[in-house]
Amino acid sequence: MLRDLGTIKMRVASILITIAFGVGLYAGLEMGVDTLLHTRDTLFERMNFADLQVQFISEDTENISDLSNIEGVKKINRRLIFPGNIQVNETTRITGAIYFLEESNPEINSLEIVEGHTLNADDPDSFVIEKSLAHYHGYKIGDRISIQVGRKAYEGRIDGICIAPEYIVQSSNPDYMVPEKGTFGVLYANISRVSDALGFTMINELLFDYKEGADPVATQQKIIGRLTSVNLEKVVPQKEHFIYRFLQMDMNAFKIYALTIQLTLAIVAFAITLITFNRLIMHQRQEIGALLALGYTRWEIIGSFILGAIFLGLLGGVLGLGVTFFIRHAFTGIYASAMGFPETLYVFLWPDYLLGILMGIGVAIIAVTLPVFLLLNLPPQVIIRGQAGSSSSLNSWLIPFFQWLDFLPTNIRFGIRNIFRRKGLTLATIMALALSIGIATSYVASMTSVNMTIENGFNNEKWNLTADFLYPVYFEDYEALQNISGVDAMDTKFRRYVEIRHKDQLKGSRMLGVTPHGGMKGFLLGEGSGFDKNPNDILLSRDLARDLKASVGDTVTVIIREGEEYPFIVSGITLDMTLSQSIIPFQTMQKITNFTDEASGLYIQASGNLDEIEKKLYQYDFMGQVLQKRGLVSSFRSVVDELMGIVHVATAISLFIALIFIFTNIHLTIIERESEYATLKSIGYGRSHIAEIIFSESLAQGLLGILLSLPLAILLTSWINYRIGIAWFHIEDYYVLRDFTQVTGLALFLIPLAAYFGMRLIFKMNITQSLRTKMIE
Amino acid sequence: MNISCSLPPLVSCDHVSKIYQVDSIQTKVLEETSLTIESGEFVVVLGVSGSGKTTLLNLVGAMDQPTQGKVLIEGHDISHASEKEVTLYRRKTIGFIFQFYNLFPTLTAAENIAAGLELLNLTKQEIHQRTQNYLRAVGLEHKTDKFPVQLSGGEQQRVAIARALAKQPKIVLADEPTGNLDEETGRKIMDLMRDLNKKTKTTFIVVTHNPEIAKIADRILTIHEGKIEERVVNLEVPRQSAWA
Repeated sequence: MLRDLGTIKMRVASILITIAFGVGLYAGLEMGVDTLLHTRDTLFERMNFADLQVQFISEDTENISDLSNIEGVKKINRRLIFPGNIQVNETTRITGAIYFLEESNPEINSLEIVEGHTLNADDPDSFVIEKSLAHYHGYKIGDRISIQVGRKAYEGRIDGICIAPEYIVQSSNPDYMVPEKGTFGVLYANISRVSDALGFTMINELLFDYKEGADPVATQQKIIGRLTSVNLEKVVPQKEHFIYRFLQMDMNAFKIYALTIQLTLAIVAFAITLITFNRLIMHQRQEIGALLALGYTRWEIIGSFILGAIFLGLLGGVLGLGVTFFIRHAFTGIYASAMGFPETLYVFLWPDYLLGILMGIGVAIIAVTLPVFLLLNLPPQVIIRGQAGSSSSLNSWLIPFFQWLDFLPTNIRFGIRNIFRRKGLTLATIMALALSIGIATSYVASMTSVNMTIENGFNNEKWNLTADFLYPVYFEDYEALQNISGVDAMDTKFRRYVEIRHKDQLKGSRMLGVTPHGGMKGFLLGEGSGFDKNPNDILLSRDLARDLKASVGDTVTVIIREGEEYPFIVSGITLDMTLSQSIIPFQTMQKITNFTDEASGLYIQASGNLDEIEKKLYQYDFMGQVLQKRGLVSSFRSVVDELMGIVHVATAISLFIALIFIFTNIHLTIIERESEYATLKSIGYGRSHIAEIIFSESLAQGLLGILLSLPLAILLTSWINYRIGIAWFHIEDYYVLRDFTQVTGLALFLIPLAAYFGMRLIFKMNITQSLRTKMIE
Repeated sequence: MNISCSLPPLVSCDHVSKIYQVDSIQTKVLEETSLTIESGEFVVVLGVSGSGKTTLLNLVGAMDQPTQGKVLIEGHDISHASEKEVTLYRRKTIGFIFQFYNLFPTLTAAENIAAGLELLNLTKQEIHQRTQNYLRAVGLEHKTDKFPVQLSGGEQQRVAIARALAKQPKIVLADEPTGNLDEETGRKIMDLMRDLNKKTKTTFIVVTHNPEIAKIADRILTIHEGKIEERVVNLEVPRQSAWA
């Protein structure tokens, strides 16, 4: 067997390439996911990401309860955070925040300086900026930078550029799960700058670092129990933090997507290996029969083929190492770039790679054993001579079809009819082609579905500007915004962090109070009827409902702060692009938060110059952040565009495997029909006539494969969307003609290309040899 | 035998040698072979396996090129012709018959014959007419729409003969045409070819290792270790069936 492999280098090469890609895809994608998680965890560990983050309405440190000696707590850091906006150039203003720190580099959520140095504790003018301000907006060490917080501007000198664990992935609006690189500017300054002006130290956030082995739930409860003197706004354990959850959920989505790619391409790789081995074995039929006739047992023959399969699997696996590195780098690099990771820490996991090799060997063994086993069940003489009529038999039902093709020239008719000669093989070939093309199409169509779901999601929203206040604002204070030229309508909202309990499940949630009927905030309902007349109706985002194990009709308890608990009835599960979001009627929100006359933000419908309106909104003291819908849409688009890189790599791999298969298939067909082409030459068929035959046969198979790939692509797209929806947000199925034509067009181009290379073999072949030694089967 | 006449002979091999080389091993199959064959002759080339008879046939059919010497067809050197010229030569001048019939399995008997005719710029009507005529000539007019797998070995070889002759070539080259058939069928096939040779005046060059077949030939050329050693002129012998 091993010697035989040496004589069929082309076919062996195609099997090796297929196995190498199978191994590389499996191991590369596994390592890609692990690389991303490893990067996140390493960065968090290196920068000591807080175990618990507690935000509250700004308070004098003197008024905050004693937090010493809480069981399980190792360290505490205090910070004052102001949201604001930064004019990064003459035309662009981005949202941002300034963090006032008590140390030049805090021990929790520490800053990793990549350029310059840490804050100068003695210099109130000293600033450190988060890397993306430098990367996307060109700020350098020594530059001056200013952040507008309400009417107050904080200006300083950039002494350092850093990476911060909270901003591994940036989003200017946590309402939506979309990283927006460079859209959020973060500054760090000395807290003395505020304290000196106020005459006391004001803070609004505490970061807690737990001792090793501390129970996070119990420790959190003890901390909250001590913080009775402050007005808590948000309590976020590490694993509930936006950045952590975003990455975790996105990794899960990526894993599902990766698994889909692995599964689908594994099926193609297996099918192709099986078909190629099958043809190889059929080609060696006479040798196998002769061995049997010489007295070798079936198991000795099968054993020799298994040995060959192990050798090929192993060699393919070794070659797969290069593919593994390529896939890991391509997928991880594209993803990390799309998310804006500050760095990527690649891992190489031997178990994944070795498992990939084992799977490659397994596939090769199954692919070789199956056809050999079936063949060896026949008597030796049948194996040598072939079963009468088995290879060329034509079913009677085909004859009318063949006659129907009479209008075509003989060359083309001959080519098309050829595909019916070995129906099982043809069917398997067409299926493998359809699968390859269908998979590639489904990857593209799935990304289009994601894109269009996002765009349509935003189209459901009636607002085009959203404003978040620095603190709850009375109606009489914000009603003036309505008079800004271009503002057509406003709708109030109220956002706050709460905890929600259902049975024994307790989860943190970003709760949003909105106008329940006819408001500007749209939501996509997956289950339930949405808001009824009941003021205690609550809508939960799908991930939250899943975490709480709550369904429509269940009663959940909303905990505003200790002792303030309110029952709500789940009236709907939303499929919006959000994480841990709950929505209740605005008035109910006001009531349970005791802000009966205030709102925390607005949805604004405007028809004027949005940039101008945004500028005017920022002139109000209470204005924290203004976002335009079109900005969010464009961020989504740019992320999806970057992620399309992954799809393009997957599509290219799928098509590459298909190409290898088409190439091998045509090559094998030519070898099997060598005497036929020699006969054609002998009766005067020239190159062009033979080319017509080969092209018509290849294209007929290709067209059938493409035709079959269409329903397959639709089914696969729907499946991939469903799988992504489980981990991410609900994805609607959208089928755009362009996605189908892109891939099928490429396949239609590649098929004749592969046929061309096959044709060259015929033109070079020794026809006298073929005519002497072979008969047409 | 050289026949002197004003026109060049139909086939003329002039000191033809053929050497096959596999790696460093050279095998001389034909050595300085010269012969001429006139139009309308029925020539049988006899020889044991490996004697070079098929090589000779391939050289005449322009399926292969001599290592030395020339193969002339009506005075034209085809051994150094371009691929296009060779294709046209095979298309118009040569008809092949093979041991394993080499019919195209997805084409019917009629279509197999038509496959060669469609290259000749004939009308559909002419192709149909000629196909039917030759199927009738080989006695298979009732098997027009049968696929090769639906025909017996003898019938398949008849279709192959019809395919070779339907083009109305000047030369029919048959390589062991009875090698895959039983004796009775083989005899019938040879009789058929001889009969068609007489009727159509087409030149037949038949390669075989079976001396019995040779009996029906006009001439028998015996080939041994690459050399034509014996030329038997059989013109005086009344033409008869090899098995008669």
